Amino acid sequence: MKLPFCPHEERVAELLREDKWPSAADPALRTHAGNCSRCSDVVLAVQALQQGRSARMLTAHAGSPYYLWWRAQLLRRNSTVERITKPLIWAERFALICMLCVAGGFVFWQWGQITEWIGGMSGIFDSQYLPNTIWLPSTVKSNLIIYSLLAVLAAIAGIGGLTLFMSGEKE
Amino acid sequence: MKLRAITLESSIPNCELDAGEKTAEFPINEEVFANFYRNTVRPFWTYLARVSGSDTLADDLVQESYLRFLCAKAPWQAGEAACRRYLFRIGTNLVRDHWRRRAIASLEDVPEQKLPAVSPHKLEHLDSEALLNAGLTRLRPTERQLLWLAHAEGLSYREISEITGFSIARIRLMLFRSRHKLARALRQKMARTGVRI
Repeated sequence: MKLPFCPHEERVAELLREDKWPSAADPALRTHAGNCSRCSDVVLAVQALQQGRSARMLTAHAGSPYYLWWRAQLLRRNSTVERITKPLIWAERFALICMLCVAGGFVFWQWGQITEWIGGMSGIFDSQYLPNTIWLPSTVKSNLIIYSLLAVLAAIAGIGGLTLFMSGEKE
Repeated sequence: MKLRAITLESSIPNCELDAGEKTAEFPINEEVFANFYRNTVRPFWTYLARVSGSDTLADDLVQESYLRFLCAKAPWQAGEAACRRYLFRIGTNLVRDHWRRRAIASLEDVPEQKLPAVSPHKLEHLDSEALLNAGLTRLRPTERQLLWLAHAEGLSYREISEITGFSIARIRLMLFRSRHKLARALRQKMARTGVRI
């Protein structure tokens, strides 16, 4: 039965790897390698790879190590900054959630008072209290409370959007 | 087939510092790194170019590997050989990740003959280069990787195992198969073209 491998193959590969083939090889092994198809395969493949390496090394691209050093320093510094600021970001988020919970709780607790207060405020938005120097279209004058609320909501949305945009930019 | 030049810039994460590491200082200085870089960059680039089959990709991977190497806790105390193995491990993992992502066309489909192998003034290498390229294209990337590490870089099975994460028994078997596969491909090409190694 013909074995799928040759027992000398490893030795031949080792000698080639150590750059000792054929000079340091046993003459019997050299003769064997010449006749054995497995060992001659090893010799051919390894020599081709070694020659390929030498040829390719001549054209290998090599950039500047100082540039890489500088970039690595920059990355490391960014990482340090991120590591330091991460707890702060979490603290900010926690504070925001706490604040919203407190505000929600307050609104829930004082709901009666708040509705009463809003009812009292509605009179302020009556157009008859507006100074004559301020000119407004009649449709706005008749629905002053709605337009005032819309303006306040738009301002809140604008400021909120700006804040989110700026925090995103910062990140 | 058109190879798209990819930028791995975005995939470079911020340097991960070890939990116990309190300082942003490097364990080595610039000159030590520059020496290490000069000693390793050419064989490392050659390895990545051969395994990936693309010079452009090898350029990107080399940069990213060195950056990761600098940011990670490289085994400087263990000597240059250990650092070299560590660098090759980073490069090997990056190539593997790249294949997994398949962001560009499969590298296994890219014929190496299409890629610039040698500069025009090295014409004496051209034939044997083309021959080797033809042989390597017949191999799977992992086989190329193992062959290159074992026979071009001259690493031992243990070192290859450290770099690739494969067991020594598997490396031995895969090397055995891929050596014969390469030799067969080389012989066929040699018979057709008459070029000798």
